Amino acid sequence: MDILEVFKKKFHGKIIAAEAVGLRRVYIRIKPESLAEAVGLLIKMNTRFITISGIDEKEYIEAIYHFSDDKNGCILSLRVILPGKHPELSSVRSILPAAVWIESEISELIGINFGDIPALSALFLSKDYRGRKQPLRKN
Amino acid sequence: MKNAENRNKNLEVNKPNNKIDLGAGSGSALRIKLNPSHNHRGIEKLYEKMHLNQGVFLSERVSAHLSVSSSLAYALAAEEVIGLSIPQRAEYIRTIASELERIRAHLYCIMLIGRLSRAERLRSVSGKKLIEILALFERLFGNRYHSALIRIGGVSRDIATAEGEMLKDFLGEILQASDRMRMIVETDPLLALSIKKKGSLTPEIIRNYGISGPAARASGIDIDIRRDEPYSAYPYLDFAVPRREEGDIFARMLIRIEEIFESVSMISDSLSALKRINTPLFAELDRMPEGEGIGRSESPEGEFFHYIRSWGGNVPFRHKIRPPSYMIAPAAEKVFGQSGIDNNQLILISLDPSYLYFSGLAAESGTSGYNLQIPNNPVPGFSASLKESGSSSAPVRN
Repeated sequence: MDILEVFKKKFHGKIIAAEAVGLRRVYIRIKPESLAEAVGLLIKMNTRFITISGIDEKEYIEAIYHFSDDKNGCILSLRVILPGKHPELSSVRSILPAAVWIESEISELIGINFGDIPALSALFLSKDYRGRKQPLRKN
Repeated sequence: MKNAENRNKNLEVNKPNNKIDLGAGSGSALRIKLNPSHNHRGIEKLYEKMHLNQGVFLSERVSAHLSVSSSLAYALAAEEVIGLSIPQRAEYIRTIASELERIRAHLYCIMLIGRLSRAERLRSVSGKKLIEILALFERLFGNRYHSALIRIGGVSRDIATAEGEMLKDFLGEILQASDRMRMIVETDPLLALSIKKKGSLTPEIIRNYGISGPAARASGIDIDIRRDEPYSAYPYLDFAVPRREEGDIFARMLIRIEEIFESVSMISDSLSALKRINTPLFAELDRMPEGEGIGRSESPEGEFFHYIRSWGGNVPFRHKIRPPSYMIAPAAEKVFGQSGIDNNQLILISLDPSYLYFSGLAAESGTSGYNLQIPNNPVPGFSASLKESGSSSAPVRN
């Protein structure tokens, strides 16, 4: 699992937990504050962005950033845990254009606020739905 | 004033709900906005109410065009959570179905490009084979698109020896047709006018937008999930990954044709392997433990991604899907402006004809508006038409 070792070395001290599942899956939990730095590092390491999975675990909200290391056929997932009430995360769209759609989608369907970007136009939900309960929230 | 407001409000309600808005002048696009709004079907939420086995049927309906790849990626994700290993015969049947789907999808794409660029010979060669392969799907797997072949733990249908022989005969015909298609694409001077140096995607755009599949390989990016993270029977098969550098429609078409040749050889190798492998068709499914799993497959249009989070039981707690079009669609905005609005339809289809996110393309040019229809379901014989309409009925949102 080369990519995990390289990532650990370069991102020393900012990893909360890291585990390798089987040969081809790596899950790394980091603090929300260091997300942009970690994503920047992964882009430099020539990984390909796949998507972000947003999960409402009732007590907390989880966002998982999946990256594919195509040379080794491995998926590296950055896990970020946010509070259930008013979850906020910094946007990575300035360094990763591929994240524009999925950030907008998660903001609409899960309710994570990617605060430092201008108000998103409705991507999947109609305009009059905004402000109501997010469809993928569990409660 | 009030009437104008009301009229605008009505337009807002009545306009096609998924489309790309283009502002254009003198044949070249000035303002482009992609708008997939109100087309969210809530499929991810539906998984949370369904038994694991029912999820297969839902996965196929994410995109009919990519039904095998989608349900396969779903099954791989579920199998990763459960820790299930698959009987070898099922692995080969999955591979055969995936590769047949690739041929089906590529023929469909080439047929559309042939039709739109008025290359009648190309359209007729690919269209004829497309109709035949759809009939073959029906005979082998029971349905043209939604065959429910994949199941968690294996496959639901076998390929009998007689069916294998029939398939082998068909592969020979596909090879002949592909040779002809390649010859036409490489030599037809009129076709070259509409496909060469049109809709070029640079490697930077591909990397920035996370695009995979033939669109990436036609721009010189060497990615293929079948080789990079081998699943099903791909580790046992010998195949090449075609790659080109140009990045235009021409390169994407040739990549698709080259991939048909590779698919034919893989299917034929898999059929030989099926003769000596006699395992059951599926492994028994146990309850899903707590955990998470990722499944991905190389669909004809790129990487299909499924993620499952489970807290035990037979129903996933959260399911995430990322079809390949999701990455291609925002990047398509970057290439529309390049070569005038006439080519946009061709560019879209060459990138990925399975558009889930928009079914129409609206452009406004001067006083008259054009409404370009692009297909939203992969049915042969659909009519791709260029309809002229009044500017008031061509909805453009700024």
